[in-house]
Amino acid sequence: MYSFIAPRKKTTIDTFSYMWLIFIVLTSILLIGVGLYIDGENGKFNIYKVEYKEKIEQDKQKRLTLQKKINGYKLSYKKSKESSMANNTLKTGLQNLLLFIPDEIKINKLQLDKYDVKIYGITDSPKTYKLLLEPPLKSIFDSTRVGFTKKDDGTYLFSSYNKIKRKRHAK
Amino acid sequence: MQSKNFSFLKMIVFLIFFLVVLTFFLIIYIIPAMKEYKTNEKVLKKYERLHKKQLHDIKVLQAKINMLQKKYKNDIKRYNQPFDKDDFSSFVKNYIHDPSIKEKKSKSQDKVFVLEGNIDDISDFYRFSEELNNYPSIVKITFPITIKKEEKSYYIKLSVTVINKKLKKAL
Repeated sequence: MYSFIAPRKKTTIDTFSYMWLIFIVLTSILLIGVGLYIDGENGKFNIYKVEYKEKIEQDKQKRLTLQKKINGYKLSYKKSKESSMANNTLKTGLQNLLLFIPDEIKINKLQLDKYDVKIYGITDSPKTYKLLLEPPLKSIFDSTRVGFTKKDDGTYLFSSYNKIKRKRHAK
Repeated sequence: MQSKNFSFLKMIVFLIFFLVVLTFFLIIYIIPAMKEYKTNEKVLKKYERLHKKQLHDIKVLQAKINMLQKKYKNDIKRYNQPFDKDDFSSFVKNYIHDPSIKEKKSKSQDKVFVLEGNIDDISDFYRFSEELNNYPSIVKITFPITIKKEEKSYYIKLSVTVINKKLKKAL
């Protein structure tokens, strides 16, 4: 057999398939590119996340330090005021107590404690004490007791024990 | 006719192949990456908000510190001032003659001293308790207090508590 025309060149892939394959490959490359870009962004995000975590931790520590400082300042103020108040209250308390002592009664010794006051002194008579000093003491303290000892000169030594209840003191 | 059908079939095959490739990339690569991206974006925004809030809080605390530093300047200074026993002794001498200051064992965190001496008049004690509020360290008069009348003066015995940050005993 002999042919008079030259045979047509045949390619393994025709143009149609070739175009499809190029399209698919290009799409795949594009998708991989998009994927890589998103991965890159995710990587950046992870770095930012670590940085932010560190910053947040530093901020937290700084905040705690500042808060401690504030508490320290508040404590200084509280302690100073408490102390001033205690000193002033003590002074006023003593002043008020001594105001109650009438001229007829002489005080020899005063013992002040947190919940009680002991007063030692001299009075003309137990009646004078009971009339002039006992009523004001009774108005301040919850309980008041007194003992008298007669002296050679006719006057009386007295020792008065006055107590305030703890609950009332706390108020 | 046969060739036309063949082309159509080929197109369908390529289209299916293209869709498979596209789905594969989307499901395996792009969608998970996008999900991670969105999660990261959310987390990062949360961190950003937290960081901004903390920066704001720090600013507020700093402003509060500056305000307290001015307001409680004297109290802060007094609370942090190291206690000098000799200096305190010189201070006490202005009000109490021949004072003796001895440290007392105390269960509290603060140092307690027993102060003994003589005063000319009870007003010296009032002045002492008033001026104690202006002393460089925080000193509080504490019980028990004893005042005893002597020939020309008054014997006085009292406790003072020194409240100082640096003196605090370890718990």
